[in-house]
Amino acid sequence: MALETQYKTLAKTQILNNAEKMKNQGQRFVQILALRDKKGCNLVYSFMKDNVLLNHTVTGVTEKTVIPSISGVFLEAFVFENEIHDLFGIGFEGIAIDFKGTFYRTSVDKPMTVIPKKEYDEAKVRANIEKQIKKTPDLSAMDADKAAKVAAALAAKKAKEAKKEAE
Amino acid sequence: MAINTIIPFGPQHPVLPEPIHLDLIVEDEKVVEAIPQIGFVHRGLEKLVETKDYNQFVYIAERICGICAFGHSMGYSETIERLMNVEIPPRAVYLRGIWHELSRVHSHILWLGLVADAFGFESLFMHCWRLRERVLDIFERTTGGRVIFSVCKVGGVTRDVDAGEFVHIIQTLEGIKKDYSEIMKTFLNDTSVKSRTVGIGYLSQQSASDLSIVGPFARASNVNNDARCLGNGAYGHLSEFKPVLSTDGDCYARIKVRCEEVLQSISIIEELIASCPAGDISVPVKGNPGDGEVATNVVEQPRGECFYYAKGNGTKYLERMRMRTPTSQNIAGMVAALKDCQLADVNMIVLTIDPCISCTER
Repeated sequence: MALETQYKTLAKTQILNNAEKMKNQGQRFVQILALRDKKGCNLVYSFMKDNVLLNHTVTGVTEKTVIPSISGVFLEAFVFENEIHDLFGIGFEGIAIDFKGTFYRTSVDKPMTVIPKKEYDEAKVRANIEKQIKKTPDLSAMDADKAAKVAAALAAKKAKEAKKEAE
Repeated sequence: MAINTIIPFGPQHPVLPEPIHLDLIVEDEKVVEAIPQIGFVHRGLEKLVETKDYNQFVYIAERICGICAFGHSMGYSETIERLMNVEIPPRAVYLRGIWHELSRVHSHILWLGLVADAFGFESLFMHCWRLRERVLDIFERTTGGRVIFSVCKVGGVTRDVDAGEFVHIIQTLEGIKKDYSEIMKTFLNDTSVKSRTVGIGYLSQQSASDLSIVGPFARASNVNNDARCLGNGAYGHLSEFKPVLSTDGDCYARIKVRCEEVLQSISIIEELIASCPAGDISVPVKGNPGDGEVATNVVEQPRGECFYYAKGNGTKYLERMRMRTPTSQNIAGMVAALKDCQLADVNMIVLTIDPCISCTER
């Protein structure tokens, strides 16, 4: 009884009906997977019964598309729908346990999270300023010889960067 | 009239080895609802396929989990071998099977120790972990590692095990079996164990089936989703494989299933060692996964079925790699088992599904 895998494409409008059909057939839910492509995302819904693994692909999903949640039929799908929402920015409607973008508590902009862009940009600016401050060495804390050498090196580096920019 | 109270449980809690948070809505001492929350340690490992080539990613895959490390490297390698139509030598298949079942033995004994610790049986916990050390010693002798082995690669395995080492493994397992049967007797017959587990966290066969739960958690409710029945890899060479099932569906049944699975795994290892063929341990793998080629795979990890999906793009980097771990599948089942339980039993119920949040947050 070796594993047999089947693939099929599915329209966005068929997602919920298909889930109900799978449930009625005694299939168990395996996972939902998001795949990026040039036009947006594809979603792969997997179901399994005995040794047959069914993969149903929904193509052309964008961040503006609202996908009906199948967690009403397969409760366990809520984990995957929240995950895809948080990591790929795809909206699901009617998730049984909806975390509204806080399922993954990460700190960078999507595809890792749904932190508002304004907050993310501000954090980025802050991080850059801190980096600049760290980069500039404190010459007053050095002895005179070393401070002169470091100042000369910094001036040379600055001149080199200015020259490169002018070119 | 009972008043609803929300009790936050985790992500830091003495009984939780990993960070999961539960909002427990309780009426007096009864839990009426549990809302789970994960995402505290998300690592973005799947995204690393964009920067690590398909050979390097084996070492990332085995770092998904410290307990089922070998299982993940094997599951990933098998998926890539399917993707690239690579057939590995029979000896490599057997060696993978032996290491994978040894991982199950150590994982289950580790878990039995944790559950003993959770219900306050400290000496039982220590005996379990003492036994587990002997399995880790086998790993160290045969692979050089105790947790991360790095012996699996796309195309086979990197280390062979000689006949003398096989004899040592058999002798060690015989010794473990003798000590383990004493520990198992305590788990299955002790009244203090039974008082904390019998009838607690019951999940019916129908609910387990409806919620698509996997692993020993499902088998304890008489639902067989054991991927070993598919006969992939070394399991196809076994004379017979019957999953361990129980109809009780409570915490005690989950302990019983894992207890019996340890002995089953030892029998599988003995059979695989006895019939392990001679020959090469790997084949060279050339080229890259084809553009748009897709492969899927399922592997029975100690905690349950793990699903793998790989898509190639014609380069040495994969387009997408997906590992759906057993715990993410079992979270809904855990929520169902927690419903209407007593507050004092929450830790036992959460632990008996053996949640691995670092697997889930790959």
